[in-house]
This record gives sequence, C-alpha cells and structure tokens, in this order.
Amino acid sequence: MTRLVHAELLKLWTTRTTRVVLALAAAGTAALTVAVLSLAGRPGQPSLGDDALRQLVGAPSGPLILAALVLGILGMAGEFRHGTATPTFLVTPARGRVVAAKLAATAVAGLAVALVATVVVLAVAVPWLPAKGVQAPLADPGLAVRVGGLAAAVALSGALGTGIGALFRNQFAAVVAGLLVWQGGVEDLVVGILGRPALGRWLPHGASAALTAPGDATLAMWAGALVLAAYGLVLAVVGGRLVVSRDLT
Amino acid sequence: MAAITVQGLTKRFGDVLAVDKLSFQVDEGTVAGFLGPNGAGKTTTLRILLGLVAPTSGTATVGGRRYRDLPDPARRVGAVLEAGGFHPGRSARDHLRVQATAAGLARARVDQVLEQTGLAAAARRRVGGFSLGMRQRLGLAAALLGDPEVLILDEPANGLDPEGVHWLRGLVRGLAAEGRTVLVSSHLLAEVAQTADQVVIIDKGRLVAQAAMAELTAGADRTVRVRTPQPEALRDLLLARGATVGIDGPGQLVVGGVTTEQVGQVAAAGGVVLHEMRFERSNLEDVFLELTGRKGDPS
Repeated sequence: MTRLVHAELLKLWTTRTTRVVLALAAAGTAALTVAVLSLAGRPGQPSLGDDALRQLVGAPSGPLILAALVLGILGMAGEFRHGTATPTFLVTPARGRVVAAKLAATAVAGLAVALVATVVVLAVAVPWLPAKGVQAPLADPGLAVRVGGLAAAVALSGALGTGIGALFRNQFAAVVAGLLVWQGGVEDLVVGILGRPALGRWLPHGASAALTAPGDATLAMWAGALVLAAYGLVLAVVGGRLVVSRDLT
Repeated sequence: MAAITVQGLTKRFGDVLAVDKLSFQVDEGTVAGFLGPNGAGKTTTLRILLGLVAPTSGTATVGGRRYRDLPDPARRVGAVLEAGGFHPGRSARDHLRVQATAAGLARARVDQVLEQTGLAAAARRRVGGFSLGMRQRLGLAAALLGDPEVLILDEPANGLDPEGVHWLRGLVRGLAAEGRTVLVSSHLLAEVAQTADQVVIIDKGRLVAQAAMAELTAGADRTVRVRTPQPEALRDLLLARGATVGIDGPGQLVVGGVTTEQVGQVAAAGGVVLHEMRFERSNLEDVFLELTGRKGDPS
C-alpha cells in the first residue's frame, strides 16, 4: 500500500496542475494576508486584536479547501479523462486499493496546501503586526488549534474530492459537483426545503466550517472532522465500487 | 504448456456482441499473431485478458490465472494497448517512474527501458507533444518495465513509420528469442507474417482459424489466372480435367489445382485462344481475407 500511495503522490507531483494549485494557494494566501493587514484599522474595517494571527490563518480557508477538492477530483476523474486508468489498473488490478491510495495521497496533498498557506500567512504577518501595534503571540494554543483545524479541513477536502471524482466518470461533471459542495449551494437548498437550519452543520460545507471557523452554530471541531471524513469515505466507497466494476474499453 | 488460454469467452456491450464464445491458446515461448479486421473484437478480447473489461461469460487466463489474480502482474505480463493512457502534461520518464513505483520495480529499470525503446533523448519531454510513434514506443517501454515473460501488444505498429515498424519487428523477434510469449494483434497480416509462429484469426467476435503459420500457408497457393475471349469453353474443358475454376470478371478465369503447363495443353487441345496466363502464388493476405470473408469489401 505504501508504494501505491507513493505512486499517487508522484502522479500528483509530476503534473503541472498540482504545482500551479500549490503556487496559486501560496500567492493567493499572501495577497489576502497583505490585503487584510493593510486594510485593518481603517474606517469601516475591523481592527486587529491579539487574535489577529488566528483570524489571518483562517482567512484563506475557503479557497484552500476548494484547491484541495479540485486536486482530489482531477486526480481521480483525470485517470478516466486521460485514459491513464488503463496503465494504472494494469499495474494494480485491485482497483479499490488504487482508490484508497488516492484518498491518502490527496489528503497528504491537502496537508501540504494548508502547510504552505500557514507558513505564508505567518511569514507575512509576524513581522508586520508589531508595526501596526498589535501583539499577537505565536505561542498561542488557540492559534495551533486553528492551524490544526485548517489542515484537517483542507486534507479531508482533498479526500472528499477523490470520492467525488470516483463517483463521476466525467471530469467536468465531477468538478461541477465539487463546486456545488464547496459553495454549499446544494446544502442551502436541502436545508431550505426541509426547513431545518440546524441540519446545515451536518452537511459537508457546515462540517468544514466547524474546523475552519468554529463557533456556537457549528459542530465541535472533532465532530466536524469526523463528519467530513465520513462523507469522503462514503463517497469513495460508493464511487470506488463504480470504478471497480467499470469496463475500461 | 499454454501461456494464454481463452475459453468460451463472450462479451456483450448492450446490443452488441463484441466477443462470441471465443476459445484459443497461445503456447509458452511462441509469438502469436492475433488477427482480424477492424471491429472483429481483438481489443475487447485483449482487454478482458488484462482484467480491464469484465467478460459476460467465459474465461481468459495468463499462466492459468485470471490477470487480476496474478501476484505482481507487472512482472508477469507487459501490455501495450492503444496509444493513449498518458497524461499529456507528464514527461515520458515521469510516466514510467509512476508505473515503476506502483509496481515496486527498481528505478534503474526506467532508464533501461527508455534506452531500449529509443526514447532516452525524449525522456524529459511532455508526452502531450509526442507523435503517435513515440507514444507507441513509450507504451512498449512501460510494458517492458517489469521484464515480463508474457507480452500482449494491441496493434503496436499503428502510427510507426516504416523504420519504426522494422525496429518493432526486431524487438519482437528479440523478445521471442529470449523465450518470451508474445501475443500481438493486427488487422494487417503482413505485419505479423514475418514474426509469428502461429496465428489466431477472428471475425465478428468468433474464431475463424487458429493455426501454425506454416499450416496456414500450405495448400493456399497455386492458382493460375487466365484471360481468354472464350471463358465458358475453357472453363468446361478445365472442369473436365479436374481443376477448380472461378470466373473473375469478363474473360477472366481463376484456376486452381493445375499448373500453367496443364492449362496451356488443355487450351491448345480444345482450340481455345489465350490472351494472358499468369501463375499466382496467393499470398497470406488473400488467405486472411478469404477466411474473414471480407474479400472485395471496401475497408
């Protein structure tokens, strides 16, 4: 299994998409951090307190989750789009193991995205904050929790993307489905139809919010992580069964 | 000992019967040509053999086991399917690195097979910019990674230039000389005629013939083509002499079972005028076309 995960990581690393996504995540995070820091304290903008670093680390979570989701989707659905599923399943005829290796590899890729973004935020913000007169200590347990939550949310979104990618044979359809999940559109609809706003926190978008923006309306962080992981796992199992039975003509 | 055994194999895609109760064997250490017109079911058969397509019924095994039950399949079987299967953004070398990593093969094999397939110079280029011929070579490189004893090649000559075809022939001969089993499909008999020990011919998903190359060519030669203004008269004379006669266009006869000398004697004795007479050794391609019943079909 280790060699399969290694092979999947190599696949991710040797396509331009992954590197572009990582570079965009880094650049976007830097830009966002700079924007928040320069605007802070101006009229009409919230000023920064000693929880500044926590806020800044969580600020790019939405785009980062999307990035990981897209990586996961492309990694799985791309096998069918480019026909690489054929050589992949020639080497590893046990297709379920390939899907499992992809889940692990995209989760690792998600962790990498979150890690890169966190380093960027800290690199920009830590030297800048004292100049704005804000004391925001690095040694803050709350900050560590936020970073952990972000990493978990982004990593689990990568795995969720793999599940979505397995479910759809068509890469475009998979990406559209992924966007709907990420944006929470489907969830708003479900909640709206059922008239039960409390249901929202149990759906994927709500569950990832528990990790990136924990509050009274969300699940506990651990529960959010479990719910998000469960969605990824269920989609991967259902999608994996489709992948296993699919004729590669 | 059979390296490859296909037994009562049937595959139905919706209404289409792609493979129909197909059975054949390929012996260990032989090169088998897998022939049939386009759409005969060759690719489907090979993909079933490789575990990529599930059969409707029947079995296809390599070394007595289904492909998906083989431990370490990359070390047992190497396959080249259609020239796709590459991510356009990945370099040739990275494609092979991924395959080698997943199969648990030594990294050094990557450079060896790149060398062997003449791709060393293009190894770091993206596959998206590769010609069809280069993709075929990369497919072969991937198939050779695990140094397998069985090779399954689906139309490997597609997209190769004449020099490439020559190279491929040499490669297949070399692999066979090392005692490997090679099953190579083609819609052109000439492509495998020089390398194959045996041929399996299918059409419309069914087995048409399985024979050693020598068997197939024996008895299929010797026809005499005659042009005459009196075809009916000559036909009757030759039939009386025990020859087989077919009419092939106005004033054209195709005569079997006799020599040119005998046709000349019969014509002279019967006072028939001959305009042209030609001994034809019908080639394998004719045998193939005859067996698959596609003679004269535009294709």
